[in-house]
Amino acid sequence: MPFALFRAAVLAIMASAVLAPIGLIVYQSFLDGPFFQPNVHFSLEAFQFVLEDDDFWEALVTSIIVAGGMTAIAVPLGVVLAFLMARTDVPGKSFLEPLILVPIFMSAVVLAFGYVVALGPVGIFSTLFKDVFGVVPWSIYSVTAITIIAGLTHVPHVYLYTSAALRNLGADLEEAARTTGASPWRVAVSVSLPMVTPAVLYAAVLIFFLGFELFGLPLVLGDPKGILVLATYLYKLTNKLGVPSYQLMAVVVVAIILIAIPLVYLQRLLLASSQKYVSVRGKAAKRSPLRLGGLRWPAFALIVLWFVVSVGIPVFGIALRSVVVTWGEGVKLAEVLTLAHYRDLVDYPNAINAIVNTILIGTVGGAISVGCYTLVALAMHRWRSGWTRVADYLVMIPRSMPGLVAGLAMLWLFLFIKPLTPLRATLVSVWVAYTVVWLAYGVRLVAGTMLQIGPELEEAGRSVGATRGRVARDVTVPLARTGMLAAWLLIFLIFVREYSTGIYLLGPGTEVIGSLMVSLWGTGAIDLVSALAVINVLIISVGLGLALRLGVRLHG
Amino acid sequence: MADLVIDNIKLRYGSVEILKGVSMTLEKGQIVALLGPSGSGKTTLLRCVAGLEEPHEGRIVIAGKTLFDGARGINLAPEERGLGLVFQSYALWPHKTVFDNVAYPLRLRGVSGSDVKTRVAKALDSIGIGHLAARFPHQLSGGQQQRVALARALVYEPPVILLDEPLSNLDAKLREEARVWLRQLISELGLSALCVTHDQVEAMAMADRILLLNGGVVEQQGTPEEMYGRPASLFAAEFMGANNRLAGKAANVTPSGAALLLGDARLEGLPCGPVRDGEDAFGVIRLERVRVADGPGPNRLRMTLTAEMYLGERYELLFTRGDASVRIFSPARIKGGDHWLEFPQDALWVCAAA
Repeated sequence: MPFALFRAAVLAIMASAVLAPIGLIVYQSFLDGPFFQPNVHFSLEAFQFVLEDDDFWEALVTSIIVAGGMTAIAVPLGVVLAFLMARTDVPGKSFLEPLILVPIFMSAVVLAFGYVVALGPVGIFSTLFKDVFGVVPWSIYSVTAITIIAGLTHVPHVYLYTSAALRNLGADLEEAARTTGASPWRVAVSVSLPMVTPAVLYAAVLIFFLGFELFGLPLVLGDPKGILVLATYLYKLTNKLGVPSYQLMAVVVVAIILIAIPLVYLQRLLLASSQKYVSVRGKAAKRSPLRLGGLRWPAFALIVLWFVVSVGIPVFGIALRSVVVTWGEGVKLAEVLTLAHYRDLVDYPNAINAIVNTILIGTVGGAISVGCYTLVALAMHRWRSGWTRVADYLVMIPRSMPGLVAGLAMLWLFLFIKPLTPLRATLVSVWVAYTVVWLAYGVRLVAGTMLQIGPELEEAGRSVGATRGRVARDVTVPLARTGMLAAWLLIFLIFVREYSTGIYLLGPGTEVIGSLMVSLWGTGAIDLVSALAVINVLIISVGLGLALRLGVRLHG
Repeated sequence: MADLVIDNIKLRYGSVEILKGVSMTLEKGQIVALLGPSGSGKTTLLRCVAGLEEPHEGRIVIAGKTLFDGARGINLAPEERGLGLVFQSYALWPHKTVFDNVAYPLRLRGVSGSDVKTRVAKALDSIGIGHLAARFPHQLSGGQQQRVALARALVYEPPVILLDEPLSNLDAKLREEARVWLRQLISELGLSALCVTHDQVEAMAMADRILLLNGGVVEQQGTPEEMYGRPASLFAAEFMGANNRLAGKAANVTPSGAALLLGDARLEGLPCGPVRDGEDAFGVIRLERVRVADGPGPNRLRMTLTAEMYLGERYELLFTRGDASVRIFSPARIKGGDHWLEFPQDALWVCAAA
């Protein structure tokens, strides 16, 4: 097959996979009923309904508050962590380094459940605290709590971009400042920080954007008190009118996408400008870390404290909850210990299906997804053409759809296109949704690996007589193999962590741990949920351990 | 018959013109060096021939087969050109052994398994690395890698072989050996080669003809002797060899002679490129052509010895006179103070100061 044909085919398939769902949503938003019903007409009713709904505006405002607040928490903390890790002699770096990235791979619902069982009104730590002090001075079900927790769990994103920028900064730039008479702290504030500002800014916009996507945390922590954000408003809308109000959901989705697109675009611009700074790189000389002196252990304690609060407490909470019959005031641990919840899982076919499906979609599905991302990356690889811009934007579009929305769009697509409908109740639908949602991330992972291959290795192939396709097969892919394996591991972690994308697709045959937990939590089956959550954490730990063992960089 | 014809090739990146109409021919069995400073477009021209860059105008024909023709919209893909290209970095595939690297072009051409074995073995033996076939590229030294890269480009007997800075990745000592070896190999095999280099010594040593590029145009072309002995412009004069440059004014310019006025002194020389009477001009002369004379005379200047450097096989001496300074080679140390330096008329070029 000529390479041009391959490119056109990949572009066409990608375009339909990306544009069809979004097109269907926009189409649905202008109808007065679900698209599959007879007698639906074009109308602006749905827009009118949503825009006149006070709940929508309240949810929008809450979303902005939460997104802004978590940015204000995550950015300074992430920058401090990055600086401590990249520039100082804080103890235990090699042990802290992977730890800091762990929250990225934790499912937000697992953490949310964990916070409820640990710090909720009758949570494990709350009751302990009450025993000692007589009161519980915090409320987990509040906008403040959601914001703080979201902020803490998003620190790794800021950390990643900032520390990468700090490491790229040539040591000579800082040494030059030292030789002209600046103290180490002065250098940090007046040289290093300004140089990494573009990266920090990029991370800030990313966090704000992720704040709009928040779903698991506000669902678990906000819903009991009627606190809604955009994504949970959308979720609640499902049953608002008693009948499937697809047109209303479509309008909300359109609103979410309209907010997301400029943010995604802004990220692109900032990313480009932050990479401009990277080229201001000096020689990679070994630099001696800043001596923190007496602050060494307090700095270490700060990092550990952050980790304990954002991962340790919830995971410990959910793990403990999964092995006790009940919890509340005056309960003695030794009397309530049990493994019954895990035994119950075995009798609950949905749960077993969910576990099997999750592993399947992570391993087999992840591998096929990486295969798809590889095809896209190959088609775009070193292509000098205006079409690469088109492809670039196509890849970005799913980024502007939160997982919940993408899942919904995929559900509609499978209902709308009749030949696909039989696949709706199979894992294929979930896999398609996952693959599309993580398209940008996956393609960037694989394409990044391919870009590290010297262009002359491919040109050598062409010049001795290999076609583009042959070069891709014999040179590019074999040389990118390690990177693709790493991509597979990362995609595995992300697919296992997923919960929101599968929610609307949840049904017999399509259960995955993430979406099943959300659904079970709604029914109050906390025993099952905590056991499932622990299993989810365990699968992810195995993946993480494997990744660390193989030396995979945990960020693309 | 010309093996390779390049006709008026133009190429630009965006609005920047890299090649502004370059033409040349390569006769069968010849080595042509593309010489020029960085940014002159020499590597780009080579990549145009290989099909890795696309010019927007011009024609490239090899042995009667049109590879590129801007007017007729012909642009063969690199793999359809059947040329041999040796990369500056050698570009050996790290995941293939030496044998597989060299066998790959043959396998692409559907050569049967046993033939592949014999032909690869022959190619490797002919350049003296037959014993390395089972190694991976990272287990080889730079010189060995270069030989593998050459074997890979030669194994399918291309009509023309393209070499991109083939010696620049070798250290100084190895480079001189490789130069001799490469020159010998190319003539023995009767190959036609186009070789990019920024080193004029390398170009003169290896090539039958040199094409000097400057800013995307051909500054001058000819045999190494012509290029070194009769430069056609200030650029060509200064790019080849080690030179002295004297600033003055041109006078008495005729097709066969020109004078350079340095204040009250006057040196007779040859015109180099267009130059007019009374114009600011440079006198350019190779270091090895200036000699110390025993007294005053025509084309001699009185200058003061101000520094001397010992270079091993000779001395380099620095003389000054006002603003002017002249370096010369000398077999022996000479006493300090003033000396008369002679600038032979046939070695001094008078060029317009651009």
